[in-house]
Amino acid sequence: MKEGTPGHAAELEVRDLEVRFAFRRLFGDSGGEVRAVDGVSFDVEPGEVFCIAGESGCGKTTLGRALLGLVRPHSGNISISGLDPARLKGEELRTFRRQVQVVFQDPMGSLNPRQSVYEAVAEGVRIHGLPGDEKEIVARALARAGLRPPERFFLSYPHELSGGQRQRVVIAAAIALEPRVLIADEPVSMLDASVRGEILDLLVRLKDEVGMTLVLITHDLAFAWALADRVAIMYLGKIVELGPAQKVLTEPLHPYTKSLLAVTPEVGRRRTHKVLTGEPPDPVLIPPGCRFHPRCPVLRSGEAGSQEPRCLGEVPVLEETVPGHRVACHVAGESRILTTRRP
Amino acid sequence: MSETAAPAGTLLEIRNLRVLYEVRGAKAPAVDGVDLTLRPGEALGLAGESGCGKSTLALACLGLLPRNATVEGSIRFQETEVIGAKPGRLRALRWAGISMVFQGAMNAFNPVKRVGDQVIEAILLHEDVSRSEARSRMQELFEHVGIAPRRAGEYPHEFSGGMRQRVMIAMALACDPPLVIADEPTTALDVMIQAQILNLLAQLREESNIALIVITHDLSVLAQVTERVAVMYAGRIVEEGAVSDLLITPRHPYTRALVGAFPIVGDPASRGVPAGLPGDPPHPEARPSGCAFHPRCPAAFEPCDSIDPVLERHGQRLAACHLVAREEAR
Repeated sequence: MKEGTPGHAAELEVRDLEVRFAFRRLFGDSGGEVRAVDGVSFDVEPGEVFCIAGESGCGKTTLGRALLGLVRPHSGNISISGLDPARLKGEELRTFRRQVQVVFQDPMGSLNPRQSVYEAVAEGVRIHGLPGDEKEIVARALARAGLRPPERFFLSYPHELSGGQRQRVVIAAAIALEPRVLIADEPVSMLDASVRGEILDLLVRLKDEVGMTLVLITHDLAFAWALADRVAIMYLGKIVELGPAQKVLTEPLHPYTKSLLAVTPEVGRRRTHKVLTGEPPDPVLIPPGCRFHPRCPVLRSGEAGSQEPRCLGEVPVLEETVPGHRVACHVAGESRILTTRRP
Repeated sequence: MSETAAPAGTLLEIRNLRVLYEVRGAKAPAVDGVDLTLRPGEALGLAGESGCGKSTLALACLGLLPRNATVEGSIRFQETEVIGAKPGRLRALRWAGISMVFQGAMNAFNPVKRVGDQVIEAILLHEDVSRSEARSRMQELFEHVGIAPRRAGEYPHEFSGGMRQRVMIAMALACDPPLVIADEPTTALDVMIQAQILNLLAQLREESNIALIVITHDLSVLAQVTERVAVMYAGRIVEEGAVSDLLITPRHPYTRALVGAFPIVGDPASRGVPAGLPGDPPHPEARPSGCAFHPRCPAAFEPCDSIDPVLERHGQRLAACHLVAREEAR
């Protein structure tokens, strides 16, 4: 497929994905397993902006790494335009790696301080043996990432650049390979407020120019609201709510999504936050039943009613309660059914 | 808290403060003529991009600037002139007078010492108390900031980022200072934890009438804990006013751009890429002519590149901007 055409962007399909990490304690022999991603399924349309949101430790970054083929899933399937990184080897894996690129949070950590901007972008081009003039490819990628004129930046080193410019170099290095999927893991959270808009604008513009599917991983629902077509909210390795950003963020169904929205600060508005009580989520100690139940305000207030035993003992599945909008909650699912039953 | 709740008088008075760093033989101003007044118990937000001078201003208040810095002007804290004060006087001022909560609470602790002992040491260093008195003070502080005192025996790595930030706040409160300066207190934290820390800061202020300066580039945190906001650009205050007023109807184009960078969930106007601000802030050694913001300003007009605007009062608001002055003249 030709680069830049809408057909260039890849579709993603994730089915029952599980990623586990074994761990051992420093003292004693009580080792165990962390289920970082625990049975996650979703589809992303070509060219879509799909956002994975949640607190630290919810598994969003591990999920992103699995999509990149950087961690091997314990079970389940990933398919990025028909290719599963876990089943690829050699040349095929290399092609896959070229097609799925990533931008991380900290540009200083992504760049080698002793490598010039030119080298940083050219390295991937060389590794993947892209046809064409290397200098031209690098210059075009830098210009596309907003570093103009590109030649002026060729011999610059990361320490000579501002935070925003560094992130642009990282983005240039990614898009030089003409990826079909770009995974952006908190791409702006280390940047100044004034620069964030520009970098996000760049990512969305490049998505259309290069023809990419954009997977945005963030804890900031305000950015999900601004950019995403659809949002998946993760809690302790599971997706608890999934649907169009407009729906999930303005008519949330899951109590966890509601809590996250309640603590998302708004410029100019003072409010005392209703902060979730209870221990923060720990993937080593996953509670039985609904894994959110120890912190769930609905359960605590008694509103769960007859559903309470299910919350404590039965794992809720992600069900489509409203067309296109799915939620994994016994209470939200049940109340929806009740409202639709009402004459 | 209402304006009248704070007792009369002045806690901190900064007059015409300039901080110059010597860079390659030339002196470049990082803070370039700042006036600020803080009453006891008041909470002020200091906002701006990196490099605007907000952290330098805080370090100047504590007398903690590096050697290559020259300070001019005056910083009066209670009865003490901080600029030019003797080292002994400054040591007494820090912690007991002004304490600071730094960004990145992870790096502020000694990894091989128990958390509680580190707080006890800080208390012993600044107050004339016995070890057991310091221990009970530490336990009191832990409870105050929402940490179970039994966790005092743990090591820093056993604490989460939010818990470590709580310990930092406990330490800052150890000597009951009238002023706490918090530099990006929630920047590296998750949303849920950020909300907890902001709630804690607001609660501490209600309980103990501590004055607070919060330094941040994240305007969305300021509404939660401050009453007044001063926005800095290129070493100067460009707009200052009551927090809700300033953040809802910003008047300086720079403040408008900063506010616009934060999308609001549910607001249809925030769907789509947030408006950024092209370009970078100027280097201190290359301050643009006229208004330092004019090369990036979307509303710049004729006098902006030649005449430097002064910070003027417009009703309840202070602004250094030709556009605001023109709007007011109408």
